[in-house]
Amino acid sequence: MSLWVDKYRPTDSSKLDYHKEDAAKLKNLAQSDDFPHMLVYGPPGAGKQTRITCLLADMFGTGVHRMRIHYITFTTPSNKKMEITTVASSYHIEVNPSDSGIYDRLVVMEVLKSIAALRQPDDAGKRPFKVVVLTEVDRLTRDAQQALRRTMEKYSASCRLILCCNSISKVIPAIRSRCLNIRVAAPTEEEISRIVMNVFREERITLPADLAKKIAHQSNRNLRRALLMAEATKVKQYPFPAGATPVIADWEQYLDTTARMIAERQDAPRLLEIRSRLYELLSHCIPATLIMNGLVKKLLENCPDNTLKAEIISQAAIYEHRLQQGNKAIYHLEAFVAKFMSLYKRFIEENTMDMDF
Amino acid sequence: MTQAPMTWFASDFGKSLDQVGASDEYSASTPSASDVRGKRKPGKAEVSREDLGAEDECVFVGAGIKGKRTCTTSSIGKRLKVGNGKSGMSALEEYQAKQTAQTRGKSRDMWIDRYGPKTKADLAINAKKLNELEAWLKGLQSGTSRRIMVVTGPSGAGKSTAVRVLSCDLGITVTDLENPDGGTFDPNGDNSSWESNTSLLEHHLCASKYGPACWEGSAKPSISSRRPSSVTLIEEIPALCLKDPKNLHSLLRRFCSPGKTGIVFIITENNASNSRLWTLFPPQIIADFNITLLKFNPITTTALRKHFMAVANKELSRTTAPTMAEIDELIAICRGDIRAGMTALEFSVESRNLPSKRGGPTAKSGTLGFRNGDPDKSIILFRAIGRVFYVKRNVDEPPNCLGLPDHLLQEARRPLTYTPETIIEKCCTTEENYVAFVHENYPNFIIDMDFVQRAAECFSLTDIILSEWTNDEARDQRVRDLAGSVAVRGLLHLQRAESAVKFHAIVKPAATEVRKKIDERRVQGKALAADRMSAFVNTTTLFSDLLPYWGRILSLRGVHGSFLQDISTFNISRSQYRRETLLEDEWYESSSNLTAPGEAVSPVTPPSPTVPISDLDLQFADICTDDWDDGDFDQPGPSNTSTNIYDTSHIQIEEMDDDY
Repeated sequence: MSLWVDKYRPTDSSKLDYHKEDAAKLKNLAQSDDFPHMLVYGPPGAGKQTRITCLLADMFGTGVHRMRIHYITFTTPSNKKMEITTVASSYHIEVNPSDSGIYDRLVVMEVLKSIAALRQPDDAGKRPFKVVVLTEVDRLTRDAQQALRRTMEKYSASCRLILCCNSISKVIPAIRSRCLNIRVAAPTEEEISRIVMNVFREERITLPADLAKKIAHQSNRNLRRALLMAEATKVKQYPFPAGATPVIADWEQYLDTTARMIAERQDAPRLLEIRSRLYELLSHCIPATLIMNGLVKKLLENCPDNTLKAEIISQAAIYEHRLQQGNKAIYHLEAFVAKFMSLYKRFIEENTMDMDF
Repeated sequence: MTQAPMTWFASDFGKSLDQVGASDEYSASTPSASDVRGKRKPGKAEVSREDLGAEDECVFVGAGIKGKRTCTTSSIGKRLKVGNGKSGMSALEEYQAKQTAQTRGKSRDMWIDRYGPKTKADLAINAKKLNELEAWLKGLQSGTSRRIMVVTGPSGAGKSTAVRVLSCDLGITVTDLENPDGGTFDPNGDNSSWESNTSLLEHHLCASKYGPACWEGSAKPSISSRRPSSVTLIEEIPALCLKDPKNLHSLLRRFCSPGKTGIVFIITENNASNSRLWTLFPPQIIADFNITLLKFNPITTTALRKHFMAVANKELSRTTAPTMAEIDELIAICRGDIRAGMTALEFSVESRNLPSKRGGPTAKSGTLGFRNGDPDKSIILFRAIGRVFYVKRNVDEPPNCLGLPDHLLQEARRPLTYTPETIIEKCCTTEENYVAFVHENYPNFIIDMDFVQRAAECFSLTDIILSEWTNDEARDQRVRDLAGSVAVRGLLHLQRAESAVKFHAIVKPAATEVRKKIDERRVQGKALAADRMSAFVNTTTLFSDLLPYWGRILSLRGVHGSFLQDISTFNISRSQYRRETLLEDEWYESSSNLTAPGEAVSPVTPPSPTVPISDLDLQFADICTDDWDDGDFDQPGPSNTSTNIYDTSHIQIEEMDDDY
């Protein structure tokens, strides 16, 4: 059974539903003989990967959709065998080098080298190069990014890079300046609800318009999540009763409750409870940055005062930065929670004192 | 035959002394160690009483069997002073003296010799274990038993003593095989045969004359003569065999073919690792040679108490006998090591009787000051964590000793009585681990939210510093030291009042468990993604979007199905991470009646393993908050006058019951 997310994924640029102007530009680019390295960035679920695949399809034809999984093994200097998973067609290869942790530099270099070394089987002389898609470039270490910078110059004759990331603020300027930067903005809620309605129509399932709106709202402008949510909701209860609510992933509900608990009471025992909940989230492999983002958003909703909000955001920025620098996420998440508690508690106390006078 | 057990203890103790290195002392009073060995019969603790007349003190010389064995009785220290104590010799002492008269004139026994077990009933060891051992020995006599036995257990658990007493009861000869100098067990290359080793061994054993113990009868050791029903006791595995257990195995293979002699290997193990046993005697070897394994546990609290009380009552009059609390303290200190406990008891009793000008460790205000078994030993984790939370400040200094200006007055602290860095230094663990432990527990000890936040900030910084990782080892160590400093000093600074902290159980960090789970699930998730041919290899998306919804949409079977179920659902009601309590010593039996109620001197009570972070603790938290808001911080607590740096027993962890 194919999921709706995969089933209704556009396969070429003409089928893209939104940002059509940008899509047309990309199509033009694909028609030209050559194209530059690209850095595609945007929030998750905005359609970066889809757009990349569409672009590749425009360039190489439908052959890019025949993909299979490749395992590339290589040995590290310390003689450790590493295996990374790649998805490849005969025209391109997708790699996520940041999965390899501290060996990401090696992955970048090895993969690029091996692909560049392979002479392209001249498939009707379409393109003289192969395309390497690197995902999550923003999670690469600085070392790896430097290596990537050198490598992309060295092998530019035989391969093109399409880098994909959420935020270019974590990509070094040297790479940014070597690529054509393409921003894929998240679809608006209207666009999402339209797409969800379309999918339901294709599936011949009636969907109340308000539920589509709710899904679009809950998905946080993440199209992938919206479609998954829609399908999960359908699996849970169909036909939809009046006032049906979309199914939300457990971890998000859990995070919501956690944020509520933080705002409820601010003391040391509560911090201990929060910690065990953070552990629970982390142990479900929810990335620490997502937890941080979610917490900040929810906490700000409960925040009554603008100066306090500004203070919290600046603190969140500090601890988010530490999350990147440090090793153990729990320390920084907890430090942020403690900071919030302390700020919030002081604020509440001051305000209640003002009221008394 | 009756004096035998005592003599065993003597040899046992002699070894200990030997290792402790009383050389300074006995070279002053006796010619030299080697002289002693040459002149006197080895295997017997000797007493030289040259200076007894003047100073009423005697120096014990362990002119015993050569060899080193791990000893926990280093409380004896370098200079073992034992006052003559009681007036004259008690009847028992005379009896003992008579018993040993044939070996060497008059003697002043250590208690450990005097009250050493003589029959099976005297042994403080679990009866079941003793029966097992006895059955094996009996089987050896009748020739039906397996020939090799390995006895393991912590030091001072009575392993060797049990073997000796029991075989003595049964009339089995025991030969003590010590590690010969220069490694006689050394096969000197591969081609040397067992015979040559035997002869070397034989030579060694014949050359050394044992005291007239019950195994003395076999002046020729049993290995060559293969007398029926004899046991060779090997307390030290030769170094070469330790290095390469194959040597030992080949020796065993050659040795153990015929005969009625048995070998008992004694392996002293620390609580944590069983590694030595398993490297020396892997399961395959145990099966091949039909080795009987017997594991001794530390002596139980009850048995220890019984024996210590018995000895104390025999030795001391009613007035000077140690109280129950003191015995309990002793039991807590010796941790199941009856040998160390006995020595500590004697030592403290004797030192109490000495006038204080002796310079020996004098007990304070009439109580018995037990010396911790090993003053050089690093602090155990439990204590090291306690030191961060139960801060000790020098109360003689003014509160604002640095002269801080008014706006910083709330940051003024008295100086600490110790250097914070020594805590981590002395605690045998990595900075990461230590910080993880402290981090897990700090919200219990710091109540004020602002302070909690500052503590959390400390940990955040510590982690940043610890992440600074290079290949330069020296630099890395410095960086780690720095990180430890930040964490420990930060926390210590946040403890404002010295005595306001209540007892809390120390729990183990959940971080390792979480880490393991993350790794496990990550691999599973990747496998599932690959299995479903998902084009996405983006981890973030996989775990935050795909898997949670897949769990809702797909109904997979098998491994993947259960994994999806596992990862997409959260246990909303409560956390699944059990907060395991760190015991003072992991193996320590937690006896609730360890501290008699109402006793002034309470030892550091090991928390009961079942103490969770309960509502009771939370109540304490509230109470504490009130205390803290009084503003009279930095007031010294009543029990807080000690400035003794290394004496960990002064960290008072109050029991919860004491407060109400």
